[in-house]
Amino acid sequence: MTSAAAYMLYLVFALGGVGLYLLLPKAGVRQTFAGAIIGLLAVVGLILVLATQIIGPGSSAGFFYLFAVVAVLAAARVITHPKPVYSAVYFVLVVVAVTALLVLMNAEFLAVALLIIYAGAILVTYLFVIMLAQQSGSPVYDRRSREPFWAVLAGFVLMAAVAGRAGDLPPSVADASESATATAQSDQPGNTSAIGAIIMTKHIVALEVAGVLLLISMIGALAMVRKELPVETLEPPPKPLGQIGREVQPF
Amino acid sequence: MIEFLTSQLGVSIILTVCVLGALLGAVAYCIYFERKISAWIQDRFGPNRVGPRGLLQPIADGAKFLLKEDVIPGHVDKPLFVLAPASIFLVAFIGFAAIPWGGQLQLGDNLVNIQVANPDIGLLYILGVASMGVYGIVLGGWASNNKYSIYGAIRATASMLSYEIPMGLCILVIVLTMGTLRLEQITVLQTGSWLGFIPQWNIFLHPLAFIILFITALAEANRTPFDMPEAEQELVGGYHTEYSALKFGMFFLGEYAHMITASALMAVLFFGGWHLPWIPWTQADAHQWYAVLAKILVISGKIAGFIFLMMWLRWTLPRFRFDRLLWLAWQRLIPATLGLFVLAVILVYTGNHQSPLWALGGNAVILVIMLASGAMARREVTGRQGNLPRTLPADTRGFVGSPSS
Amino acid sequence: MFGATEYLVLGSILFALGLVGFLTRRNLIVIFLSTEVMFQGVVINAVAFARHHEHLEGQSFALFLLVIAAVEAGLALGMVVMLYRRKGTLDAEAWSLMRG
Repeated sequence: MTSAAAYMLYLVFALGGVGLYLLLPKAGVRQTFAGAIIGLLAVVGLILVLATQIIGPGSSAGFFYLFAVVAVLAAARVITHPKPVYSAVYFVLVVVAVTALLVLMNAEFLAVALLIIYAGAILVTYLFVIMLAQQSGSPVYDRRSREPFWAVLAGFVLMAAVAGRAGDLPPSVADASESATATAQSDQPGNTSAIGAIIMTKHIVALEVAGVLLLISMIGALAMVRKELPVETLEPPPKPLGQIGREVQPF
Repeated sequence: MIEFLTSQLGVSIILTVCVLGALLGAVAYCIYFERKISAWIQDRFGPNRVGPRGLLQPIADGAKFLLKEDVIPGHVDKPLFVLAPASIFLVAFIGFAAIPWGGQLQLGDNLVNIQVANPDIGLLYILGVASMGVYGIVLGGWASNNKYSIYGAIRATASMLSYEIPMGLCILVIVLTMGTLRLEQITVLQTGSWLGFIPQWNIFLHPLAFIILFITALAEANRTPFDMPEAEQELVGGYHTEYSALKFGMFFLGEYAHMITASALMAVLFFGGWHLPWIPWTQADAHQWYAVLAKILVISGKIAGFIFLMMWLRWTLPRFRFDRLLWLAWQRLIPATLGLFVLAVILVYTGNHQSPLWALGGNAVILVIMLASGAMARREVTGRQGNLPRTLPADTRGFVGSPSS
Repeated sequence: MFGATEYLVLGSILFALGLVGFLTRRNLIVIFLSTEVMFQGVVINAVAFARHHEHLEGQSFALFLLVIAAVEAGLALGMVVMLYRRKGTLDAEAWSLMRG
């Protein structure tokens, strides 16, 4: 990546940061409309920078742009939406877009594993807990962010620091004997068996550790939730909830 | 143009349109047959007013769904309320892309698959799509903002999450035995025969896995005896209490499309897909158009058989109590399928995974263990029997429900 | 030649968005959802490097990441349920009692 491309990328990130700051739930008047416009401008700028400086013209990366835009917009909605159920639903959209991007990178087994594990299991559990805990409406702690300015600044400085160096890739260590990444065309073997082989031989210890970790977490979650509750839970929740948070809300 | 139409992409596009149309028709007629079968079982006539023998009933039903007022109640969460039936409908229909309908067809110089897509991960694709099916129910139940709907959605989430585990393990048993995730390849591997006349179907290797997969398919499609999310007597309509007109129709059609997907998956995994023994047209090396037609008819017949079985069970069995439903999944089916999985691993390791003698022997051992542990546990299965008197009065013994006594 | 740069940029954007969400939101469930967004960025990153180096280490690493994500979700949700049962709220600031 040239330094011009990096500076253009920083500019786009700054624009996106302003948009995200305006979009985050805050006290007082919310400038969501202006935030959405600035955020969309930043996404358009991101596409332009990627298309002109990084991918280059003439490349058939249409699907990449489509799913990248879906992933970024949905991720922004996950963190800005005041209702947690919508956050979870937008996160499903992020997972679907990332699945598509993994298929574009010929990692089809990983893509489907991501879909089954995230969308099929983890997110459903999240929705389950949200349904149990929060029937409707969005309480004050979903409508007030914590230090939105500094968080956006920190996040986007990190983003710029990482993405600005993304062009300086080390030379590929590809080796003829190890190039097992097959193309995803249907008449070719695909990489499922190759991944199975490498996990079952080279990473077998990590696989066993992962299995033990899953077992431990299952037991831990059960032990945690089954515990008898202390007496304080029998009291109704303290009334002036606003005092606990940063802003005091008159009830 | 002709070259495009005879290429795999052209065939896939044509097939997508055909399969989608055929499925919508099949789903509509599934509802008709459900009503007819329930009528036969309950000694009634069933729908017989619209058209000869009521055959036009689905069209009348569809027109009714379309023309009724689409009520969106004031207290619902509108975007999610609309999204839920759409997502359940979408998810129910995109799973069919990986089902092999009729082997390969010789078109000019090309040998094309009668399958919309034949990805390396076909089986996992169907599993992944099926696992997305729970969102429609959860979001519909939550967005309805109604206690009954929430209860239905919570029940659906818990049961679908629980039953996905034994379903995945049953499918893994077949993946281990076959050594591939491509559904077409799994079908082709089952086209041989043992002793010249027994078809080499997986049902003869792992019958227990098939029975458990069938049970989990019933639970995943929310069919009786596992239809807790929409138990009318307890939850009004369950997660679709607030829905009307076309949105309710989408939930309804989605349920039947789910049944067809599950049936197609069972037919491919355990009953050889489009293969019918003793008939040369349905062998793997037959690529003529009439052979493909015969194969499509064979797999359709198998799917219809499974659907009939599901409907028969619905009008025969009582409903499980909810805690017994989860108990069945976690304490019975998951240990049994784990046993089957270990059995499959041992068979593959010793090289006997294609030998029916070893596989059936292992299945028999696991069945005996299951039955013995079940007999020792002395627990009621559905939980409903607890409401009946333990011993019947002497004069009615043997004549329960008899009108003359 | 496959370009990994655009995927790395995308991964860093997803990671940073998740970080912002983690720092700003006060709902416990949304905080954990933000960590999952960060995981998505990391998965894209790992697979992009796997593609760049044309071997499968990155993809198997991403598979183990999925395991960690599942473990994290299970434990985190168990904790959220327990915290919710104690205070009747999902506000993370309800637990900042030791703050001076």
